[in-house]
Amino acid sequence: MRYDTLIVGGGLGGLVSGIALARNGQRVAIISAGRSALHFLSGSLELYADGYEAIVKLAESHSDHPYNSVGSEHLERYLGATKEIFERAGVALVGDHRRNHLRLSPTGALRPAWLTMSEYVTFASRGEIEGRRVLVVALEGYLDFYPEFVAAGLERCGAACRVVSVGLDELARLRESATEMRAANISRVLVGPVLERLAHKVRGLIEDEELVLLPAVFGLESSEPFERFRELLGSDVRVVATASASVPGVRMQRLLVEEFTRLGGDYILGDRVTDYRAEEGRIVALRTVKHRDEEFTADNFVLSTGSFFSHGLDSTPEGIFEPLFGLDISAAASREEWTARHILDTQPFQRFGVKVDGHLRPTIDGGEVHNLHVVGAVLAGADPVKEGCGAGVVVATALRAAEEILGHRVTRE
Amino acid sequence: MKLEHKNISENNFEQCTKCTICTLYCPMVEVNPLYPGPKQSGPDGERYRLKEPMYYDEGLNYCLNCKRCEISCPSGVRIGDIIALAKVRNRKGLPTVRDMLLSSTVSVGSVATRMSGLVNRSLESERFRRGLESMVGIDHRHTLPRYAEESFEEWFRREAAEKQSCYSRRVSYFHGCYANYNDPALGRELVEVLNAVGYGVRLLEGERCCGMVKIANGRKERAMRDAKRNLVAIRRAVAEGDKVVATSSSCTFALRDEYQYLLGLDNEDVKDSITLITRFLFRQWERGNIKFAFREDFRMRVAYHSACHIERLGWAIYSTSLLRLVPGLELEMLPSRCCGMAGTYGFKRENYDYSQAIGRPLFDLIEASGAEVVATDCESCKWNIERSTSKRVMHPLSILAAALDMERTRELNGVMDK
Repeated sequence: MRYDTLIVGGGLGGLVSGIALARNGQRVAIISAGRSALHFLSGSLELYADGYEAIVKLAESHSDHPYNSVGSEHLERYLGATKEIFERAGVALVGDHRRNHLRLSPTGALRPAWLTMSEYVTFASRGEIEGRRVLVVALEGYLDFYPEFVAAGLERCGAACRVVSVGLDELARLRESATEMRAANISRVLVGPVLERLAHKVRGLIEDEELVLLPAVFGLESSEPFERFRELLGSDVRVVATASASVPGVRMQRLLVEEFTRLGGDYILGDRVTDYRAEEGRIVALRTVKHRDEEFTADNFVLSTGSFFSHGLDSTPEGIFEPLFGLDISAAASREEWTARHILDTQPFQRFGVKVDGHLRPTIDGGEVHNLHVVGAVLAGADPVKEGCGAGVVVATALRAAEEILGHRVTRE
Repeated sequence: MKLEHKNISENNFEQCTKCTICTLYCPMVEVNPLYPGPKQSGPDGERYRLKEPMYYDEGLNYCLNCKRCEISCPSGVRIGDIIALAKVRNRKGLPTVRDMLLSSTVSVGSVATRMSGLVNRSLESERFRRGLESMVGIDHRHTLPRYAEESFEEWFRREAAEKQSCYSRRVSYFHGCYANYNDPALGRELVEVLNAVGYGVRLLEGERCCGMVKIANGRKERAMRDAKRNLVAIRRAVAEGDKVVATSSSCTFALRDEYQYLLGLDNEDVKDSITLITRFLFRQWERGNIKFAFREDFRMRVAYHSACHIERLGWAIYSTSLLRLVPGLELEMLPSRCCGMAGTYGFKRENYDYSQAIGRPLFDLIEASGAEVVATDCESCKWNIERSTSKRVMHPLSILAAALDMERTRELNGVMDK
């Protein structure tokens, strides 16, 4: 099979690159070994916990940070265009890269965020929370949401919270399966008349609260059920992230895949690249488990396979490596230096990953690979946990790779 | 490293990280809270079943074998295979008369085509179907596929076999029971298209049912017997230089993968020679070995439905790439989801409501689409979508056959005369 560009990895990075390339007329395939980390989405994309201004200073402190590989001359343009890219796919986001807002974690912690799906509760600052009267609504029998934690988190910032619980017969029925009373299954029930009954029950519980919070259990396929619920309730209602899997994350993944497919892209799910063929510093072809006797050929390749959890990076007691191409990586040689003693300490392995040049191109045994671009969490240099920069790095490098391949800009000025 | 490899079990259940992503994509979990779901039925349950087979849970019978859990798994756990294998190994008791009837596609098909008038009239009669439901448990609401007056094989031997030797290249065709007894037109189209691009077609000597429905209906021994015979026939054809092409995505999947994983048969020597017709044609076209000339007046709006087993094969791209070659064809991709039929599953009284509930969102999407025709590589999806929506359903090959200018295609490929 012949394509203009082949992308390995079907998560956020692969999809953002793929959509940009397909929109510019390229024939693109994404090969994905299973579903992506978008299924664990908090509802927010993070840019940098210390704010946009701090990214500029990274050039001095962390010269190999992926944001530096993107280049400040491009970064601002990509960040400004991101909201529109998602909007075209049907994902509404709020936020601004020049100013972080706060999102609420499932355990009630407030975290800086860049863009957040519009149904989630966000705050401009901690000060904005003070004095707010908030109703936190739990669903009976649903164990992946922690209303007391949420309330405690907001009360620490001076809000007045009340926790209530509602039950519905339709939800009780879900409990017939011991393991499957999960956000996704609840979201399938919360449509039509059941959604109306839930809205009616919740409305009856509101006293003087101005903000109502529920777990993110609305709309696996579209945001329509939540919009309908908000309309029925008639007050300011928002959702809070649940334990995974994330219903809005599944929806985001689905909408991005649909957008990519609508643009003519081929999304190949459940296949794994096994080996590649290279000639004169260029990747020529890939082979996969399921296509065996058929090579996938392309002019350009994008590697967006994620970090250790997604098997974009792997390790043995002897070393850390990039399993697909054997790309040169940046990592401590000695195993003792991979991890810090306490789990919450800064973990060195977080910054391990593939080394690239200013065009996001890697090397193999020191030799340049001219038509492979590496994006997202597989790159070296970032610590997404400590820096709060996971999605920002993914989106910025994915758009950079698309422009490197196309040779022209993909965003509006 | 070596020790690590030794620690990987059959079907690698220990790679499961309990992320629950598989349960999000299980069509049965979506409609039936009694099904324990792929995570529990697969890797979680396997842990117990390995210790003691008594932990086998009859709830596993709800599984459709769609394998959508498996392609979704970020850790590469063969969840669908774990469940299917547990069913094959642990299912107790003999299959019911109904399950025998539904899975005896060759015996039933060969009788039914011989008396197709009577059979089709009976199957159309609701009274007859109600009788069938009360006697054996085939749901009367399900219209059964019609039988052809003449099987594909009979037609082929009478009309086509002789001419096939005049082509310079050749493939063998695994028609499967559906093309043979229910839709011989599909087989005839395959012969027409392959002939037009310069390939002669021959049948496999002694082709049997692929075995998919027998495995699903608890008849492992019979499935094994058919599978072994098919492999003998396929090996003979491959030894004579043929590729074996099939029109059914589920037959193809059975021959290539289910034989290996569920029946434990070693088919590695011929696996790469067993392929889907759309994959075969597109690859030949891409290499410049064959050419197509299309009718200039051809217009069709098509929505492609990716059947579960072609999704598991990862091969839908060949069918859609082939369709994209046709000028005048507008292609829309339906979101990939199960239609609920799953071969013989949806015919059964106890499954009918679940089956229809699973298909409903897909049927709604199909009705809402602007397409005139739904394209799919699976015969069982075809029956189900046709009876559940207002749209016509065609195999991609049938669309190709309708779009080709056969005369010019023959010229382009240097095929003389007919």
